[in-house]
Amino acid sequence: MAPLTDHEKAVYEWQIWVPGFGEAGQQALKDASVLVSRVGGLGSVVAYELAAAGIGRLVLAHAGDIKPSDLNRQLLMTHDGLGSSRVESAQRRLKELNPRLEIVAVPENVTEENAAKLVGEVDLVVDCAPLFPERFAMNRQCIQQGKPLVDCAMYDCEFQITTILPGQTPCLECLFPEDPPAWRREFPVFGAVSGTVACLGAMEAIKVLGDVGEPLAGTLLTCDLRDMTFQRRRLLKREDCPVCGTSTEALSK
Amino acid sequence: MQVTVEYTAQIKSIAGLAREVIKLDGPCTVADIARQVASARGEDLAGILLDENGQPRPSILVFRGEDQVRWDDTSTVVSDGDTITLLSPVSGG
Repeated sequence: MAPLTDHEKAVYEWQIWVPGFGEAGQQALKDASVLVSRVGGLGSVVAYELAAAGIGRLVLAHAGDIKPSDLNRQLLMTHDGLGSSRVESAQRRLKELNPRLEIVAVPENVTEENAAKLVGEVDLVVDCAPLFPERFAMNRQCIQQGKPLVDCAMYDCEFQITTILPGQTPCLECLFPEDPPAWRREFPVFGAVSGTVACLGAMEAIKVLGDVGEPLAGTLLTCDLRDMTFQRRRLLKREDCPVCGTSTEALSK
Repeated sequence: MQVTVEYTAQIKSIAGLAREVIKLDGPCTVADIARQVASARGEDLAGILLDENGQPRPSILVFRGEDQVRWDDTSTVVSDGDTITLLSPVSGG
């Protein structure tokens, strides 16, 4: 890959100063490709932070057009874009921030059919999708292809985030072995809540790709912004997990 | 003995509170805790915590303190003063 230019060294000077990151970390981000699915309340801010940080390539997957109810939290969408494509709006806004960024805008949500190809194009995935079947499809492909997965989620004033490292940590189906029957596609949330966990998700991606700090591997960070309670919780791997388990039962599935 | 039960996200919305202290007759499992609060707080909470057979739903995570516990773990005994968290699955959007 191309080395950092003098212009890039100037743009990223303040983060290159971060101990343990430096020019090597910045070069790693430039060489990296990340899938963000979708670019809604979570994914908009994840993508924006990664674009600002100098990621080389983003694959953005999100179907549909901008609706009024997107605008409280989907910060890459704007009022004048109502009715137009979400990923096109996201692409335009990100390019305004970072014209060096390569963007692959996919006007589809992740499915069982396209997950292998989309995950195969990147080094890391940030899961920002609202439906568990989408999340499970990304999780399965990340485990099969050995790609890290940062999993972000929110509800009301709460959020949860963990980083899944294939072969090292529990995977999403270790945690949720079924599509949660009570989960609904639409739910209450503030944009500041999705934005908060999205910034943490972007930071997890930067840490994994830039080899700096300690990601939330095997740890679920939960937060309730109503009273600013943050908790780190240790997660269990399921040996009989059909996706990542190592038991005879799991391997036979 | 007494334990604190914490509720998150949708479970908290349905329970109508973030946490409560409950009394137990003696040592029990995390599944016993789920059944006790489901019984005490009505069918809406029972519906999200338990399946049609009265077993805790696998998609609800349970923690004793900071540590996840499996619902079928009968060796982990809930003790006086413990905090048990029932974590609702949430997502993006």
